[in-house]
Amino acid sequence: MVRTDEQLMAAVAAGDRGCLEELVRRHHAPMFGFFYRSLAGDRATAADLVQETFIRLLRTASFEADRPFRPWLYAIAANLVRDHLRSAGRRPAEFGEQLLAAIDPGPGPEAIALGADTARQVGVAIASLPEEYRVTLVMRFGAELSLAEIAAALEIPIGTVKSRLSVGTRRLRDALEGIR
Amino acid sequence: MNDDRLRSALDEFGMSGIELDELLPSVRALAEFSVQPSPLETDVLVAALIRRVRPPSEVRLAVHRRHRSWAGRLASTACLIASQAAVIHRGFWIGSAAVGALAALAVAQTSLTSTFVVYMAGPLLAYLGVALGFRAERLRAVEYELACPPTVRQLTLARLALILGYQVAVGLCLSVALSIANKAPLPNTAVLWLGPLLLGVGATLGLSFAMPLVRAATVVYAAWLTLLAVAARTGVDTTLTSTSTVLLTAIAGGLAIAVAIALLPRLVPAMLARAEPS
Repeated sequence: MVRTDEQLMAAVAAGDRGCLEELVRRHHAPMFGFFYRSLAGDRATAADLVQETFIRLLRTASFEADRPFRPWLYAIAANLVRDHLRSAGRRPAEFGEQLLAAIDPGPGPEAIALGADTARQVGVAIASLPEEYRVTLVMRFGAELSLAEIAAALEIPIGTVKSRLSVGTRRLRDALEGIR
Repeated sequence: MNDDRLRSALDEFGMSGIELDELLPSVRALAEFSVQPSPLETDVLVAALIRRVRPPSEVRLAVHRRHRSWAGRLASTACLIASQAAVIHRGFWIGSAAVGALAALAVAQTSLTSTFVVYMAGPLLAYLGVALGFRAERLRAVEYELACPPTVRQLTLARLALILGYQVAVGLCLSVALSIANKAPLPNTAVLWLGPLLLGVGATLGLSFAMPLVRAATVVYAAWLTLLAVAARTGVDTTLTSTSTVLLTAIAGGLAIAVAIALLPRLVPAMLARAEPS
């Protein structure tokens, strides 16, 4: 019989390492996808944040093990995305980064706009979205969370989730059309 | 997510018709914009996280296993209620019953109306509940359990210290009284009592690995009484109660307790599994 995420989490809270492994293997790829999309294709940071999500989950495991698992997991993940984007926005580009940007042989914004590969275009379009729309879209269309799960994870009403999805999909379409 | 599911997801928040068709390529691109972590990355993550998990407590694991079935949860709830009943001061039970009886008496024997009596008795019962019922709060039992998740060995040592400490104190009082009454030296009287006690506790702990604790204690005590009876009939009772024999008994009991404590963590999972409801 397949155990639910909540049952596995309760076992993890009791110290069961086997259940932790099962839980991580079950959710690693979806979580990785969530961060990869939310961070517009930043693979290295996605890997770091997946690990940080599970670490935070373990820290609170004994207090909240009976919470619905997916909204709990993605609540942590959404907070990490928010923190990362805010700190990245505040941090001034270091000299090394400025130098790399100056000599980067990769395609610049103009080249991307003129038709670099689709994945890169999608990454640029996602990066142009405000964080709240980005996270909500990725939760629904990437991680396939239900509206109720998204509402629980972000602690907002379902109506707000629908409104963010409605505005977010239009903005994503506009961003993609602008790049293409 | 395939196109049908994407369409239904768009439909959930009111997209339809031409606009839905216009938005579909964008959300499809978003859904397809992903990479899979390699199996090696997953293995590395699992290894890193497993190092952060506390070593599993056998007691917690056994409790968790027990909670998987509804029968186990029911049994645990019954145990919890019984344990809570045990920490409630008996004054609560007696006091509440007394208040109830007095209230009934007041209604039967006086001109007071039952409403008036209930108005008087109800808050009094509540007061008794708060004043006497929460002895566990003073004992800090909940705080202790939350702050110090105990290991099997800690629990055993704590309970042994409590039970043996109390029994030794009682025994010493008894020994003092007996030594004064019989004009016998106190150490001789004390060791006469302490030796069989330690042996009894050690043997009970040892047997409890194979049978329920109460049964183990009964078997040990019955065996001790049988030994005394046989010794009395065969005339070796003076040997049995000699100082050297009693000292040996005390040492054997102490060793049995030490061995039982050392073995307990390894044997407890099997004991708990045996205690699970079928």
